[in-house]
Amino acid sequence: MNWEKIISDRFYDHSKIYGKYLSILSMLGMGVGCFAIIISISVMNGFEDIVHGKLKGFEGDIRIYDNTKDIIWKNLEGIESVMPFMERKAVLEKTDNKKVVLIKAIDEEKMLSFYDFSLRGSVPKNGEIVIGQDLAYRLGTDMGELISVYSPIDQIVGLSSPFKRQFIVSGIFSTKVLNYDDQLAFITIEDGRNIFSRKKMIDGYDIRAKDNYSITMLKNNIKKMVGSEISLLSWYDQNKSLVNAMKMERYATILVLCLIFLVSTFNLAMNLSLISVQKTSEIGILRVMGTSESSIKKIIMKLGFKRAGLGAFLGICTAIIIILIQRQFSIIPLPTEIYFMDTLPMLIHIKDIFLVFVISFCFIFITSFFSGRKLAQLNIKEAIQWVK
Amino acid sequence: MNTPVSFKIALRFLFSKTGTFSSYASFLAIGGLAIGVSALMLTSSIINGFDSIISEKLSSIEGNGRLAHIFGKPININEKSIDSLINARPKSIIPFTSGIALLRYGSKAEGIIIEGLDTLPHSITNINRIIDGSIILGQGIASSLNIKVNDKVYIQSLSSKEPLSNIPKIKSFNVSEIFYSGLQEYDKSLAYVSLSDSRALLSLDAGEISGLIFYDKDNTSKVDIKYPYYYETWKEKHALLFEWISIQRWPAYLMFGLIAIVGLVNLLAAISMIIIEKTNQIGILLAQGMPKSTLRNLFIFQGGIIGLFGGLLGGVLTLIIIFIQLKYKILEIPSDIYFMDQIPVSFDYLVFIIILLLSIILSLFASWFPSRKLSILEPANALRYE
Repeated sequence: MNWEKIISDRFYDHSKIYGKYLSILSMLGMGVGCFAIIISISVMNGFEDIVHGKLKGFEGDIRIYDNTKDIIWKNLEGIESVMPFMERKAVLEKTDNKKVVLIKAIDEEKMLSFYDFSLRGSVPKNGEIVIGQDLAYRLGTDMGELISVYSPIDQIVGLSSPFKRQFIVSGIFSTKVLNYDDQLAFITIEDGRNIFSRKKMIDGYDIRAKDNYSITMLKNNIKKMVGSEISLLSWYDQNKSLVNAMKMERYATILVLCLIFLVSTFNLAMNLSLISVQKTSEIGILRVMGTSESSIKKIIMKLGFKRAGLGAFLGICTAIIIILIQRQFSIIPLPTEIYFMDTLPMLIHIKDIFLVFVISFCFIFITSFFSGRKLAQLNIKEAIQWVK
Repeated sequence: MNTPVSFKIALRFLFSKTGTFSSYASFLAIGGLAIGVSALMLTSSIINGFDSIISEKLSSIEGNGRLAHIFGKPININEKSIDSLINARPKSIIPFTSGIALLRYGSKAEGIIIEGLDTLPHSITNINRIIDGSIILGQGIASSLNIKVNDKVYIQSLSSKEPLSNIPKIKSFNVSEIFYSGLQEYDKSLAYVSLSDSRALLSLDAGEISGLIFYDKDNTSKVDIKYPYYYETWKEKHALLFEWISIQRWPAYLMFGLIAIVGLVNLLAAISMIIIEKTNQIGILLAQGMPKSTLRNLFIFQGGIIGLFGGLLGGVLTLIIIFIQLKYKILEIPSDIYFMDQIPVSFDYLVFIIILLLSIILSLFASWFPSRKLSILEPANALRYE
């Protein structure tokens, strides 16, 4: 056992007697800081994870606007499945209510395996349509009822009556993310060809990547094959601003909550300098006996880490325990009409815990380093004569 | 006589010139408290700013409130009750028509909400009257269809009074201006045309309107409406949005309040450390016959001074940050997610004063806590303290 640790422990024990609560308080600040950061990161991760999942579930991983008949990239490694689609703004009508929505014509057989959202009812067959929950509510329709669909763009202006087709609502989906539930309807690709009469071909394909296969890599591979003419968008490109906003929110929160660290390092600095003041003459004696400046620094830094490090550790542990409890038992509820989930999502990665650990380490290190340096650079003669 | 003595010594302990530990600790405590107070004030001013900007934008577009028919049927402007309403306040009540339509430009189309108005909300455009045959589009829809000012667009009406008439109403319009409200919901879907054009599109007869917009601020309670009409303020219409804001509010206060709490813990620690450091001096004061209550006041004063300075410093810091943000707009946010492109900040003196007072009161409380220790202190022990 090295002697610096012994001295540091002695100082520590002394400070415990002459400030029982103080040692707890200086731990508390660090603990609260770590706790708050871990909890807020985990909530943000949780939301991000759910939103990303919903977006991906709805749009596939990559969208390609390639309308050639025989797609050359189809057998590329990493592709799980592909879904051809046509889409166009069209009008849905139910008695007096009309709504302009995006109609997406897709291959109905693959629909359930490709997309991932909750669907009440069944996938559309020819002559059937699946609409979003909010849309159904606004149009005042429900499953099994008839609604008419027409595409004004595909009609020649001036010719009398628009060609309306009747569809049966075969299913109602609900994603509760962005405004999909209000803006989108699915029909079969065959119906799509009939309604969008001016479109000659499909618009492109949604691609689902295999699990754990890098989407960026797949995108680059496809790009190499089809060239730059054809537009290729990953789910991230399609929802750039939402994804970036969530990222930005996360960094901003971490940054602001670091202020807790800053404030609690003030506390630590106070605590260390109190010990320094109380122990000035002892330090003087040690210096006279030939102790180097770096050893004194080490003693104080050990003290700082013992205090605040323990606080940080306890804070992280409490936060992790709360996250685990919430994930297991969902004790914190959310109002469902505002958020698209009924319980607060929490998710934490090892790298986040590591990040918090590193941040708190840096703060503690800087504070104890400077407190230690101040003490180490004391004038030895004055230190010995020091009277409180 | 007691108070000045304890006050004087408190000041000495706080700002002694020799740069002792006590003044060092007080400065750290003031700094910590200032950061906490500032964080809380900024949180509240951002939340309030968000709230007030959304309110302002919504009310400028929606009007203070709108009157409409319960079943969405057209209203005749000459009807007695409607007519008397308009005549009572002709400047602030404006008739409008509204309906959905399809905007076509080239081979693209987008669903929009057509609003027919004679006078436009001032905050949206510079023009306040729309000429027949011209249309004012939101920026979102204009950019998604690539429309520029003076382009010709086609509007196909989707609202017709007789559902059996299958001939689509199509009218061409000249884009006279593109407006930007900062609220995506409107920029992406709203278009203004003149009242008479909108009647033609929505197949309304002359004198028929969808409802009335109330632009005056405070007379809402006086709106006397009978069945079959109803009146809805913009706040009621967007109730969910405001509920969302108020739900966000408390976790934010809680999180940033934590900074202030750690600041208070600092203060508590600082006071008790000062007591430990000054045990000798306390012993001397006690031996000279200073009552314990005076000594206790001394340290509570000290806490109060730290609280006051910390709070004031935090307030000044907040004002500086708010000033910089208002003047130079350095903090930007994506407008399609947050409804606005700048982080909004707003002054709310009342909230600031409450936070300031709270910080001082809590500081007094936090310093009362460690000063209880004084009562068990024996002068002889204190003098011997080493």
